[in-house]
This record gives sequence, C-alpha cells and structure tokens, in this order.
Amino acid sequence: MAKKVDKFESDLLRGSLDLMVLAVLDQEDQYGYIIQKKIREASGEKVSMSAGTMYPLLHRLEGEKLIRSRWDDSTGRRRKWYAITAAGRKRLTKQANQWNQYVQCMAGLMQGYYKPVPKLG
Amino acid sequence: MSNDEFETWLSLVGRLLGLSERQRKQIGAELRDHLESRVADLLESGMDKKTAVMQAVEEFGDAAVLAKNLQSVSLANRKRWMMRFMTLATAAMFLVAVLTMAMWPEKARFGSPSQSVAQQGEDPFGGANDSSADSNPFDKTAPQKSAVPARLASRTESNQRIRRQLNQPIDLVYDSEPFGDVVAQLAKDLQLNIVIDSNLDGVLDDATEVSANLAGLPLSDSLRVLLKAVDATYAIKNGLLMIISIDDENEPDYLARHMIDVRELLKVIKLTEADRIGKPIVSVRQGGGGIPGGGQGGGGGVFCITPQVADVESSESQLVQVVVPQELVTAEHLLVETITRVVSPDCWQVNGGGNCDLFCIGGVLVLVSHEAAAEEVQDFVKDLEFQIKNRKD
Repeated sequence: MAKKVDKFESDLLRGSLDLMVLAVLDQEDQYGYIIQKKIREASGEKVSMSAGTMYPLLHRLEGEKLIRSRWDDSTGRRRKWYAITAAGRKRLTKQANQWNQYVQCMAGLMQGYYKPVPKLG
Repeated sequence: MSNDEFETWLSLVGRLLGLSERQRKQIGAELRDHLESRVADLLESGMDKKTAVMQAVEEFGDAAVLAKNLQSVSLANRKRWMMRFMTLATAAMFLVAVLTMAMWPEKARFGSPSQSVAQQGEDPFGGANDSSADSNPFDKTAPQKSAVPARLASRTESNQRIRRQLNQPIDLVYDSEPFGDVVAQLAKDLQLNIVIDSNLDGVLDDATEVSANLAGLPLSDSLRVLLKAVDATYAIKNGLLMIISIDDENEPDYLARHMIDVRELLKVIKLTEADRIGKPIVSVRQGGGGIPGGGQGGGGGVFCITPQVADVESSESQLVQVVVPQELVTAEHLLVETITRVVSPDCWQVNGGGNCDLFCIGGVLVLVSHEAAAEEVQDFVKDLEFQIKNRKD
C-alpha cells in the first residue's frame, strides 16, 4: 500500500495554483491531464489539484490571455493543448519573484516551528 | 474501452453547463480526453477497467460543481471580451473622430468664409455670428472669400488669447497684498506675459499694496477696478498684457486695433430694402458735412457717384454748371456716427477728445482704441442689434 502523503491545505494553495500551471506550461505545451500529473509529481503528491478545479482554472487563464489553446486531432483523440503566452510568462516572472520573497519571509517568521523536510523530487 | 460511464457523466455535465452547443461539445471533448487518459494510466498500473473508470470519474468530483465553475468562467470570459470590445470600439470611434476633424476642410471646421470675416480680423470678444449665407448681403463676393488666410496674424492671435482669458469670470480677493505679488500670481494663474510699463517706475513699487474683493466678474472688469485704485489700467499689445498708467491709456502707443463683425447689425438697421447696406438711406444735404442733427461730426462722408447739379451760374458768354458732391448717409456711416457720439465720446479723435478712431469697412467695425472703449463698443453693438431685432413694429 502506498505511503500516505500529507497534502497541502487548500488555504495554502489558494492563489498559487495559477502560478503552478503557468510554470508547467512555461516548460512546454501540455494538455490538461499532463498538467495535473506534472504538478502532482513535482510536489511529491502534496498538491493534488482535482480536474474539477483545474479545467475552470485553465479556461480562466485562457480568458485572461495568459495561456492559449489549440485542438489537435492527429492522434485520433481530440485533445486540447495549452501554451503559455508572453503575458503569461510576464505574470509568471512577476509572481515567482513575489513568491520567493514570500517564502523567505515565512521561513524567517516560522523558524523554530518547523522540521527540516527532505527535498522534493 | 467502454464509455458508458463517461457518456452518462459527460451528458450530466453538459446538461448542467447551460452553455452553447459548441461550448458544450468542446468542454465534453476535453473532459473525455482527460478521463480516457486517466483510465489508461490506471489500467497500466494494474487496475481493472471497471474500477479504473469509476475512479477516474470520481476524481473529477461533483459534476454540478464542475459545471457551475465552468459556466462562471465562461460568463466572466464573455464579460471580459465585451469590455475589450467596448474599449476597442470606443478607441476606434475616437480615432475616427480625430481623423475626421483632421481631414475636414479648414473652412468647414471654422465656419463658412462669410462667417469668418470677423475672425480674420480681431474680434476680441469672440461674439457668435449666426449670419447665414442665404441672408448674407455680401454673398456676391463669396468666390473671393475662399482665398482668405486660414489664420489670424500671429500677434493678433496672441492678443486674442489674452482677451479670451480676460473674458473669463474670476474671483479676485486680495487684502493689502503687494502689487508685485498680485501681478506675479495672475501671470502664473493665467499663463500670461504681464509687463509693467516703464512709465509706472517709481509709481508702483514693492511698497504698493492692492486690496480687492471682486467675485464672479470678468477678469477684464475686475482687473480694471483693481488697477484703478493705483491709477493704472491695462493695454494689450504684441501678445503682452501691459499694466500702464491710466494717464497713458489714450496715448497712441498704447492703443490697439480691434475688429468687430457688424454685418448682422447693418442688415437690421432700418432700411427700406434688406440689401441696402452701403447704399444711400436718405439724401442729407448738399455741400457735405454731417447728418441731420449731427453737428460737426463725420470726418468725411459717402458721396453720390453721379454728380448733382447744385447751382447754376451764368456769365455773359456761357452757362456754367457747378457740380457739388452730395453726401449720403449709409448704415455704416450712421453706425459709426452713433458710436462716436454715445460710446465713450471723449476718447474719439473725431470728437477732439482722444486718439481713438473708428471705421466701418466690409461689414467690420475697425477700431483703434484702448481696451475699455473696445469692450464698450462691442456691448453697444450687441445691445443695439438686440433692441432692433426684438422691437415690435
């Protein structure tokens, strides 16, 4: 039986899911299922974004022009691929910097309250 | 792979979505791809098909919640699209308006040539002129008017700008303020070049203080009242607002040229025919000089082209006809005469009191006068036109 992993609380994740999706798409174009899978794997199973959460999020990012989509029928299965846009990359860079500062700030404040965790991945 | 469970679930989501057929199909295809990919992965991990399908559907969560979230996003995207469209449409309309203005013929933009006669001159008051081409007695010259300059002379433009500023109502409230500070503040507030005439050196200095509590008056009037307290007034020359001694107001160096369009007024001055401007109203007298009851004023007159036989002398050998020009009164003549008699009469050269002068040419009243006289003449022209037009015959 697989070892149970403590998932991040949803409050903690709120506001960072956009950034995760943009980061995955910044590496290469992907479709929904792989985006979800890559986030799950990259977080060591700690982030489990349900498909019911992810697809509305993808559609919203597309509406905000941070990502764009295209349909591909070449594999015999109709599949929607997503790619990051220039605006999305700009947002990613900006938010990544904010997150880095936020993490450092929290690490300083929380020092003494947490146990060292093994490096993910 | 059996898709029964998928289809049931997808059908449920589709029904709950409440979106267009096309959107439902696209969302359905995307979700189906996800479900099939997930089932394939679970099968690969050794799970049996039925369990894998059940788990894949279960992982999606509540169909109603998913449909509601997708619907909300779709509506938000539509609103966002509408906002973008409206912004673009507004920008496009603005651009079209700007381009239309830029490409519009100069004459059409600033009124017809007949309307801009006074604007070519110097109408310091920007008075509206609603004379139409139909009723314009000068229409016969219309083809020549198309050649008028597009702009006033630059110095005239500068002077006009100052007069427009002075026409604005403003509150002047000063309590023993140093005169220099008041001038500096006005120059800054009004973005005007104000200079104090050298003749005021030694009259106005740092110790001079002014007080005023004037609200809602045009700045020209307020400024005149303010300056009168220190025996000064103002003149406008060469794009400068000059503060001058009140004693110099009538000196030729400080007088300025003003132009006032009076075509409408000339038209309504009592005439027997509508288009008699420039034509005789009545034969006044023979031998020149003045109008009935007009005394010595006049300074020249309008004469009949056709000589009149005024006298006959006889000699022993021949009969000699002496031709005497007959002065006639025109609407222009009558207007000039009236103004010089009733508006600031002391300032007009023709009355022997000052250096201001007044002519009427081409339906435009041309004044060489100080600012106060020009303003009074403008008011008089407006009032007279109003009175004539509104009287009940």
